[in-house]
Amino acid sequence: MRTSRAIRLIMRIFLLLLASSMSLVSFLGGYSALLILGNEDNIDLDIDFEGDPFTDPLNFEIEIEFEIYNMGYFDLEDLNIEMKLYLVYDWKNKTGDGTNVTQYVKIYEDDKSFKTIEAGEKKKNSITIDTEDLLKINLTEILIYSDKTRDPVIEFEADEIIIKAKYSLGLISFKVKIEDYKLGDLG
Amino acid sequence: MSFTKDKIKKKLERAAAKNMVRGFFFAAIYLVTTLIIPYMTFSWIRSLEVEGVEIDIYQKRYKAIIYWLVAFGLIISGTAFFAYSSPAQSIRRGVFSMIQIILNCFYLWSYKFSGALEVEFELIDLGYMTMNLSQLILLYMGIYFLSVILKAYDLADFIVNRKKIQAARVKGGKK
Repeated sequence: MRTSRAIRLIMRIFLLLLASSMSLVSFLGGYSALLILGNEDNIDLDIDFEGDPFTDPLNFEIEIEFEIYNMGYFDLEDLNIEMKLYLVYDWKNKTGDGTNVTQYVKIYEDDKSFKTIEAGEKKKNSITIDTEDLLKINLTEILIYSDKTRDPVIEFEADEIIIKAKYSLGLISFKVKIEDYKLGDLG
Repeated sequence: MSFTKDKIKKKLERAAAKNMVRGFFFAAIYLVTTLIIPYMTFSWIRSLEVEGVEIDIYQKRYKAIIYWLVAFGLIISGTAFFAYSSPAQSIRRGVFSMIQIILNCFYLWSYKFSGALEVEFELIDLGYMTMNLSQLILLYMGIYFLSVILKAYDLADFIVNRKKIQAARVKGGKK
């Protein structure tokens, strides 16, 4: 066999191995997605808040806790959660003709990165938002002008929760965008 | 003399039949890997549920993805038949192998222009989920680029050494 043919044979074997391993990674990535997403218990999201930012701002806290069980074959890398939280209320008689206007006040906007969740591991992470993390808003104005007959008077809403991560050795990246998610209410 | 000719003729007939079977076999493999598996995958994704929430791939985008999958899947399988049913080290095999590899590049690229590179699903009553496969596809493109170089070299070799290859084939030995 000529040298050039031998080199080409080696190249062919190398490319075959590369393509086969890529196909295996793709297949296992898809199968992992099926394993993780197929069972509701593998992803657990719990949002809880304590206190009242109007009457007891020092003890006010929003806690977002999530647990992911990575049942797949690869590590879940570069996990990042981005959030925009809003306070929703009705401004009583805003236009002067007796019409209430729903107001959306942004109280929080930030993102947080988390450690890699290794294959086969279950990890619990949480984001805690307290009064210091909140954007500066005029709480008195909200207290005065909010429609007290509305049920609930004030709501906490996540306008956007964006969860980003990479899988299959970083070859597949995904983004989950949750919109208009109700966190809780006051009054 | 005529006995030798008959022997060669029978040998060539057997080789032709063997090549045809090989051609059908590889065409079937390509049909499964480039058309049936991706088609089933995208159909499965459409009916998937995440955290008990139904997901829905946009109908228009789904149709575009399936159209390009079927179009390129069929062409690649067709060329695979011609490439693998051709005699080993023939110019015909070299040409069809190279066409097949280039078509594979287009097939992968079709994932981009059909929208399958960044697939967006709707999580009904919750939001959206986007899956980006560009890194994976680019790596595959790299592998195919190296394959194109290899096939081009093969083709040049088959053309330059055509007489030697034919002589070796008649003798029944491998070059």
